[in-house]
Amino acid sequence: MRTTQNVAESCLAAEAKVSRAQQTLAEDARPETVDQCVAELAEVADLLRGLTKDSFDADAFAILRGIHNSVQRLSLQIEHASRLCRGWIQRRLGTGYTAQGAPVLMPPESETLFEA
Amino acid sequence: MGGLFGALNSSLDAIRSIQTALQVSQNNVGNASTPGYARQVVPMEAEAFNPQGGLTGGVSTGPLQSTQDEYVNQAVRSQLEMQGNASAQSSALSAIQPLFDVSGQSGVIGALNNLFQSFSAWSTTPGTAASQQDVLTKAQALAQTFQSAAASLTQTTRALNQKISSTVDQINSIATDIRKENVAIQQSSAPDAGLDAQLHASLESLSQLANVSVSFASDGTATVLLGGQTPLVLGAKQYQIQASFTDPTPGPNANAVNDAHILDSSGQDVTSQVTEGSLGGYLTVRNTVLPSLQGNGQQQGALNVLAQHVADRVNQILTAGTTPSGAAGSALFTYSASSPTAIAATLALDPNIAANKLAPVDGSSGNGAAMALANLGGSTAPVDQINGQTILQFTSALATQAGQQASDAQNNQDLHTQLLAQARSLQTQISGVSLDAEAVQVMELQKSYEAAGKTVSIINSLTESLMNMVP
Repeated sequence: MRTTQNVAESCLAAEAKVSRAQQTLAEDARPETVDQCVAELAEVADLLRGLTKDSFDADAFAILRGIHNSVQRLSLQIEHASRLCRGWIQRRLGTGYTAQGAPVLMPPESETLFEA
Repeated sequence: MGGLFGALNSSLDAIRSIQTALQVSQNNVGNASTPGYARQVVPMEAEAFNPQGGLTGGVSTGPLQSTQDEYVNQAVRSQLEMQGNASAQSSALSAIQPLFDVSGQSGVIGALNNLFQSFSAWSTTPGTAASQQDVLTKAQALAQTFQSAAASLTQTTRALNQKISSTVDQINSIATDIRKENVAIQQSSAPDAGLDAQLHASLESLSQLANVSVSFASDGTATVLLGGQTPLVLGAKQYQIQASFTDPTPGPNANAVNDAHILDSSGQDVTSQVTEGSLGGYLTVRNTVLPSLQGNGQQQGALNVLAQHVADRVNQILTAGTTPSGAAGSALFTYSASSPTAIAATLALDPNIAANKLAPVDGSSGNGAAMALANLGGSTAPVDQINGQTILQFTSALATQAGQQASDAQNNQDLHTQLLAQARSLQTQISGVSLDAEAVQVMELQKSYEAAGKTVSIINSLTESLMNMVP
């Protein structure tokens, strides 16, 4: 059974994971780092799933509110990055749109540039 | 040209090509930390191979290509514009927020609360000199607080005028740099990575100051438009903008503070086009937030509305009453009625008032006037209300709004700082690798972000559910 102290500690750990994801996504945009953030965020989701209203005291609730605010900002951050990548893909590789409105990408071409 | 000479020539071409590529590579290494620099690539083109026709094959270098990716560059510039706006608003609003302390301990709300409390004490002991004197002391303090708040707003306006002027100067100065860089690019016989880097660094600096749209001509020169419409730089020509603090058509309020205006090179008002960057942020506070408080040619401003309403209602109640000795009541406050926007700045204790001239007695009961004053702040009588709100509700809303605006600006600044870092990180990832590699990388990134978005959405729902469960 979870004590309120355990819950507060877990929430603090979850808050730290969310905060770390924010920082990582801001500073290191690579598929592997984003995937690592997803794994950590999945752990946060698992933790929150295990909580009930009886678990919370005022401290834990305040941390939960902090997590909620951070997650909303993280959501904007991810949306921004995702939109940027999607826009780049469509702009650089798009040849048109399907009847359903999905972008059609050009087939990959053979390497023609010599990397200096 | 076949045989040995053909083979030798073909080898020579290949060696020259590799030398060019090596030079570019050295350039890339040397400029790795130059602001605005993007890696360059040398396309290696296969020569036709047809020995019978004298074509010996081999490779040669194509024209040098910069990997500046304007799509991601624009994303970075957009974030710079929004961060500049939020940062400017945050710093400007931080000077205003303390004037409307939402806790009620200081500022206008604190002084108003103190006056109503002194009225309340006076209403229970209207004949005692101490309670009468306390009313005068608290009224004096309220008048001074209004004057002080008005002076602070005026000072903030002056400070913003200076910031707007200096930001406009900076914009013109950077536009001069861009014009010079355009001229140098036009005169350059081959693509120059250093010039390209300078140009992109200048464009990023400009984006922090204002929202600009940038397009590139085939010769590599940049066209820069303020707000997508007003030219700042067209090739080798620059167009200066200027700040003006004179309203072309003054409003009905005499002696009111004029709005700030941005004029293009022909004197046309283009203020509405400046929406982002620090100039956009300063203009928002200067032309929207400050006038809503201190007024301008068109509006009185909430601080003046409040000062006039409190002074008028207190004076009306007191002058309608009588003193315990039966003398007619006197007004407590005075202000200059020369301009509706000068009320708070000139609010003062009426020079004719004295403790024994306070009139608690009205026609209906012994100290009805004092009681009415004690309840004035929360009175819902239409004559006591301001725009359908009680005086305390109106004041509280004013403080909440000031606090909310400052808080929103700070949050926006934090968010855009993070989004800017992210856009720069993506710029680093996307610029500088070959197209095929980029495509794979960006598609992988896109998939990862989608997965992250789904997980964050789940966490968001879970936190919301938990917060709703906890009372």
